[in-house]
Amino acid sequence: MKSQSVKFNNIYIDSIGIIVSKKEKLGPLGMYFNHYIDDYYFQCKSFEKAQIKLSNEAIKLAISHSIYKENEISIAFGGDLSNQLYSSTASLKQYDFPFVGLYAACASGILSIILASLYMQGCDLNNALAFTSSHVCVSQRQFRYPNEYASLIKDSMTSTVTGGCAVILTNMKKQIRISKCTIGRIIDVLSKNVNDMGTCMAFSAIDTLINHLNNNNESINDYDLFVTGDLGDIGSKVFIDVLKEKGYDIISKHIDCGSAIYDKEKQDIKAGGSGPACVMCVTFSYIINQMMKKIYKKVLVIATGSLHSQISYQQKETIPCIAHAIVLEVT
Amino acid sequence: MVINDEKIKQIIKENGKEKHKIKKVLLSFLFGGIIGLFGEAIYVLFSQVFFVNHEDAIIYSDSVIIVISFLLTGFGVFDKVAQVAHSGVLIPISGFANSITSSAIEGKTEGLVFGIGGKMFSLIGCVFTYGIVSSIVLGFIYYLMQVLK
Amino acid sequence: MFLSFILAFLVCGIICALAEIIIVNSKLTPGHVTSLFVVFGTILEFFNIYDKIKKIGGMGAILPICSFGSTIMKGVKEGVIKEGFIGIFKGVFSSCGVLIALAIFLAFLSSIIFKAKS
Repeated sequence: MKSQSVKFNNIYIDSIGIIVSKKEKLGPLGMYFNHYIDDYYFQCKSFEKAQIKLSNEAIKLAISHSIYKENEISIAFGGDLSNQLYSSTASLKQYDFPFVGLYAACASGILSIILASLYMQGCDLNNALAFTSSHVCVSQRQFRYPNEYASLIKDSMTSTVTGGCAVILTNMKKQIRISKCTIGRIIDVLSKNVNDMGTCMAFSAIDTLINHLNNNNESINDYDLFVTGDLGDIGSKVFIDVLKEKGYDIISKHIDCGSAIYDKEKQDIKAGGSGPACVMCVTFSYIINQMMKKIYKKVLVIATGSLHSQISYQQKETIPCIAHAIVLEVT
Repeated sequence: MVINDEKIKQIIKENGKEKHKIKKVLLSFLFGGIIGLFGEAIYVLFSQVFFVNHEDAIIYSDSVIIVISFLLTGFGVFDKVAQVAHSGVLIPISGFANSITSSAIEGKTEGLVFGIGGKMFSLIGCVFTYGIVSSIVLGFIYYLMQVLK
Repeated sequence: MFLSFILAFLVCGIICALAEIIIVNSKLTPGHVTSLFVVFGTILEFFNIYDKIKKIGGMGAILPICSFGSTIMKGVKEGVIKEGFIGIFKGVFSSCGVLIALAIFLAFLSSIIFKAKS
């Protein structure tokens, strides 16, 4: 559908703020993360307060590296997995700029970049802030079981990345630009298995990728790399195999952030990482680093989210998924 | 968009299958057996060495397992043991102790009333409910059987 | 005595293995299976079978959660014999009260002492 995809004229990445936990720092991409916390409480009294602090620190880091001062930020778009988006809301209390909260599960970060870019372009603004955060203990508490409970972790389960990522966008020319976006549609493959979200999210990623290429009259050869958010090992295999059947062979140019962020053997992780911070932290550290070195010049980042709730799962409803995409290009 | 495709359903089913089933069953048997052995050893200790009567020795043995589970849960070790042992530690009374302790620890940040008090039975409530309900239903039947005798 | 150890190991192990077989082959969670086993324990005690299993397995049959159901059922049966209809309700907590009291007390204590970790 043509209405899904938009081209951006003047949206560039001004600054990035990323903070992760020790687990991500010890992973294969650890060298790309400059700031990390040692303990999941982050000197706070609860995990929820720690997530708010992570989000807040990421925003502070982004502003400190930005050409814009705190009082010059035009607007903020952000979302996360916490109930009623409280983590995102609370992390902005000290700031005076307007805020739009949004929810797309693990695709919240990329969706906030899309909406920030659309708003900047539509209202002719010179900057906007997009941010997200996630915390493994908060997600575990909210979606699954208490943290100390001996819940049996299945091989298809992913582990939420603990971290915060904030990106400040500008209309002044910089090295990396956001050239296009495609907003996803709800795809429901009638799966009820919340322990394997990678498989059902893969189909929404496939739908968004195909629609993006068709809407822009492009082919897979126009891109150096396809990045997916958090399909994990199992979801990535489904993604690659089903795309190949449809005539899109991208096995040599695909990275899944969930599979890349952890060393599964050493860190005792099953299918990989997930969470809104997963795709954002990997994309805006490792992928951007590779793009600055001109290893990749044009990258399609597809973030996926599974839009179920605890109640919908208990009421035996199926899991609808969505995937939102942006194109990062070296100028 | 709802996609009702047999091939996709097959992929979902395949990916949702458990791997290493036999290994998990054997580990459960082993660890369950070890807990049974340990419980029997404590029972023998209390009844033969400390000369406690039969019922009390059973209670002491159960209590030792509960206290050990409570400590392991508090120190964050129990969930790691359960990843290896699977049902072997979840079915005995240790699993019961872990459920109730982990729920209570989790509720700490929401305060004494709604957090600790309110959330303590969130996972174990079903065990109490169905144990009591099934006992009362069968109790009615037993009562009727006694009356008809 | 040596035999009682082997039987405790076997009985507890078999019950746990049975639970694991149900968990890996179905969509049931450990929570579902625990509730199922409690009800099994109640039913087996109703037919006086669980007493026999306890005699064979010793602690191996008392530790699994099914004995919780059987303890409640035993209390209910005794309540019915002693006090008739009202005994059904009076008997529920008569035998298993110790474990429930200990578990609640320790859980409360743990929430004061311990902090949740990852």
